[in-house]
Amino acid sequence: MKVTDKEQFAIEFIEQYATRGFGSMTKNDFEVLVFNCYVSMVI
Amino acid sequence: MSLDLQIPETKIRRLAYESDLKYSQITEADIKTAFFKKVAKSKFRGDLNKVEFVIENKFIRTSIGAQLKKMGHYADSSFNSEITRIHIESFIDLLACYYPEKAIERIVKEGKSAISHEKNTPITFKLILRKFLEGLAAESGKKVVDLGAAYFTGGAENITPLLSKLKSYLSV
Repeated sequence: MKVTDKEQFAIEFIEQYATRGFGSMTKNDFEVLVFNCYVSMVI
Repeated sequence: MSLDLQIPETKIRRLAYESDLKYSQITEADIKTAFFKKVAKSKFRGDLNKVEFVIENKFIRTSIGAQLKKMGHYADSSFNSEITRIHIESFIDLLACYYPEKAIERIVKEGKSAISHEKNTPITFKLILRKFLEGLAAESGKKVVDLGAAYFTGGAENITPLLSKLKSYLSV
């Protein structure tokens, strides 16, 4: 499983990070966010 | 996915659960749909008087577990965290909770004609299902019955497969 639409992945990630995590995320929260973006792009 | 990301399955499961908690918009309706999908693949264990199904998604599993708890029941996942076993009484209550009202009314209406009962006992959805599952337990003995594939393929909306089998079973 690979992310084919990398641009969309980046857009989604930045959007989520800017609205829900900027300045308040732990490493774990960050991993969860990346995982969520990954899953939504590949499934 | 574990192989793709080169991280352990346990970590994938944890991330997936946290991701569902934080970002997913799973509604009550989605949980009901997921429940009936799992029920369609459930097995009835005659030796334990329990219904067994596999729920991989922890969010769905926890939600169903919470619903059971609310009704005063519990699920047994001690054998394997993804395999949920619930007693038939709990299973009936869960079905009563998740089936739409119209489906319950139809099951009661059509079950009334097929079931033999004492005059003073009101026929309820739970009574019909209990009689059906107890009969199934007695018939199967200690065997495992493919309950989902045989009786619950229609999900929450299409109860015709369940009804036809229920009627033929109860009228014997």
